[in-house]
Amino acid sequence: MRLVVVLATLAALGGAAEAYPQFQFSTETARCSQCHFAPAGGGLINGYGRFIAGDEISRGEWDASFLHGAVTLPDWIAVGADFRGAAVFNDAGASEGRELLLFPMQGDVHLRLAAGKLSFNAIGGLRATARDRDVSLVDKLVSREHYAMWQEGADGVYVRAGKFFAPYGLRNVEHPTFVRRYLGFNILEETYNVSAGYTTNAWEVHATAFMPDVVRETVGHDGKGAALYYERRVLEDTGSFGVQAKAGFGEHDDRYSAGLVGKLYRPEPRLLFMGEVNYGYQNIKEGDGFEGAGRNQLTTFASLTWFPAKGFMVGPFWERRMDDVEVRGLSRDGLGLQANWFIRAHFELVLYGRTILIGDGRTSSLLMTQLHYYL
Amino acid sequence: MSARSPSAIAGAPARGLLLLLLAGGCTDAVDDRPASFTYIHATVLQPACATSACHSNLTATLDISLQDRDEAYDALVDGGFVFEGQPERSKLLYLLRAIEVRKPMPPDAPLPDGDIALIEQWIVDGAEDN
Repeated sequence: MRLVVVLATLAALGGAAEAYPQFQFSTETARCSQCHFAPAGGGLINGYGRFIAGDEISRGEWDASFLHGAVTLPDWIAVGADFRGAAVFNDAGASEGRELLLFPMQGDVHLRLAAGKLSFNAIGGLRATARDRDVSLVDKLVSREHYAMWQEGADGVYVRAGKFFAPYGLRNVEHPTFVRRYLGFNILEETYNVSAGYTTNAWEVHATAFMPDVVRETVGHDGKGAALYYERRVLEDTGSFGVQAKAGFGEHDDRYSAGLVGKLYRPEPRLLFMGEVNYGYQNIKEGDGFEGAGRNQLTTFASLTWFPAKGFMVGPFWERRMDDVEVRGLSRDGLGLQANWFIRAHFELVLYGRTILIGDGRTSSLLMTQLHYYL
Repeated sequence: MSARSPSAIAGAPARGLLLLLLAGGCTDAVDDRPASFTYIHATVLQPACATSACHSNLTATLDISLQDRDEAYDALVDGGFVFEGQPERSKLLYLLRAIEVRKPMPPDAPLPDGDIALIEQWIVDGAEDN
């Protein structure tokens, strides 16, 4: 085993809770925006979200408020932060065997400033560099999200403009999942958008026009386009069904995707099923010496999460990616297990393991543990 | 590998969806993808290599960015990772196959053999800027 020790500091910057889609329905919340300021969930949690984080999700009776309740902020400002330290064992078939990486995975600060129905929201911090150590502190500074928003109220119509992920899919926390990795939602692939939507307890819809990040650097597809997501809660708010579509038009290729999303929670035995399936088409444009080509793709994810006791969630997941459904040997199947221990409010331990079976029989395995602190 | 005809391209979405519906995507189709750099960049290099942590313009690990098509071509050919018509001298293939290198590429998960074979074919055909 080849050991690559990078950093192992766990300085607590504070944190805002991560947005696990598993919490929808399992915490008796019908929609993600009940706990999060963002209309499609994710990012900074509101006061109700902090209550749920401390009272329902985490073990013990610690105060999930900002700074553990030591400071009470005025209503017009909300602050949070996330820090994650990670240890990763990765076996991708290197001749020297597995690699071990220790590194600070996340160091973000969240800020929300509100004036009536208007708000400004931002997430910024240091991006993780697991392998490349020769990166200056300035180059590590990133702002994942920054947008202005007008909202009618806790639900209803909203409009926002700025940088964020277009609402689409399950919105898994783990960026290596295929539905994030291959559909334009990998780390730092947030786009600049104008987005509008309507949220209610019964349903929600989000429409987004997007363009790549041309302010700093584009990461991922350079396409401009649009995305649409509609979700309806069903079965007396124990499940949901969603449809989605996305199209991006780039300089060298256009990418289309359409899919379905579903969740189902059974209070007894405290099991949550989540699934997403996407059909995609990539049109590679003709150029000098190239007459153009297209390929059909499939990207799926399914998981079963069990909440055995307060403060724990665990379960297997399966995912499939077919880069070109007409060509043999280009598929990837991921099988994994994830366990989360919400030790106390503000603290979380994550264990994530996945093996990828690559079409022709090769494998790649990853085992990761994270210690997460949020302010 | 032969290039797909324009008529085949036009019908590809419908044919692909039908394959998905009838057979769950299982296929024994021959790999007839074009060994063109434009195709390889859009379908293999940009998605697999130009991530935020690696060879995107943002990070450009080891000063190598594969984000933009033209810059990626220059980085590979002018950078000595690809020798036209000489796969045995092209370091890129050794990296992708994790042969005689310290770290395979991509380091988190290898490419399917079919993608590596497509890149090798492009090199054998002269590694043209096509």
